Amino acid sequence: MKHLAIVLMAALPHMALADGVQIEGNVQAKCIIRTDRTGVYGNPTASKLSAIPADGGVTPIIRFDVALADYYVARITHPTSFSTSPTLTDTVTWTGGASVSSVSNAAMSAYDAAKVEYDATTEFDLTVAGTTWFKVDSTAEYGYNKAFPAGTYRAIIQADCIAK
Amino acid sequence: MRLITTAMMLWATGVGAHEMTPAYPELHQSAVPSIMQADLSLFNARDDVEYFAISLWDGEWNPVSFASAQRVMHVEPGRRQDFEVYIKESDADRVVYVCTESMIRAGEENNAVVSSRICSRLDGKQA
Repeated sequence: MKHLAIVLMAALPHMALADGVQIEGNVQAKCIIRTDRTGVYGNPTASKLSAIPADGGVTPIIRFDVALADYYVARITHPTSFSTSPTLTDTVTWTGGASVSSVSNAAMSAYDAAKVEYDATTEFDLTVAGTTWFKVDSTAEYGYNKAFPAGTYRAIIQADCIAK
Repeated sequence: MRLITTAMMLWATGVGAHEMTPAYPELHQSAVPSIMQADLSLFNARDDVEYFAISLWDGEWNPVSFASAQRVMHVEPGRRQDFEVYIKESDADRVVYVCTESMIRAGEENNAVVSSRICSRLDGKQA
C-alpha cells in the first residue's frame, strides 16, 4: 500500500505535464485558389492560337479548395486580350470557357450542368466541400485568316473565389 | 511565321496558392470614432506573385472607399500577412465585399500570367 502511494505521487506531476500539452485546430470557411497546370498556346494555323490539346496547346488547370460546403462561388474568366504581344493591327476574336476537369467528391460532377456563363465568365456554385479542378479553354483568331506576327503572346485568366 | 509555332505561354511556370480568411470578417469599431475596422489574413503560397491589391466593393460591385496600411501588400511566397481595412461608419451598411487580388509585374516575361482574386463578405451573411 505504501509503495502504491509512492508510485501514484510520482506519477502525478507527469499527469499534470501531459494535461498541459494541447493541439488546437479551427475549421472555418475558406477558399484557396491554386494553379495546378500551366497553359500553353499552340499555333495550329497561322491565324490561330489555341490552348486546346487538339490544336497543339496545353489546357491550364485551376484548382479551387473550399473547406466548408456552400460558402463560395468560383468565377473563371477566359482571356479577351493579350497582356503581351507584338503590335497587332487587326481584330482578335476570342473564344473559350471553363469546365470541371477533376473532382475530389463525386457530387461535384454536377457543377458543369449547373454552371452559369456570361460574357467571358463561367460561374460555378461550390456547394460541396473539397477540391475541384477546372480546365480553361482559350482560343484567339486574328483578323480574317490573317497571320499572327512572330513574337511572344501572353494572356491572363482571371480566377475569382467569392464568398456567398 | 515558323517562329510563332513555338508554343506561347498562356501561363508560365508559377504554381501555388492564394488564400484569404476569414470568409465573413466582422466590422467593429476602430480606435478612431466613426471609423469601422475589419481584420483579415492573407497567405501567399504562389511562388510567382509577391504583391496583392486590396479592394472593397458594394453589392453591385461599385468600389467603396477605404483606408489600409497598404493598398498593395508585399507578401513573400510562403508568408502570411495579417491586415486591416478601415471604412467610414456611414459606409458600413453599403460595403459587401473585401477582396485581395494577385498583381503581376508588367514586363517580367517569365512571370506567370494568372490573376487570382478572393473576396470575403463584410455584411456578415450568406446570400
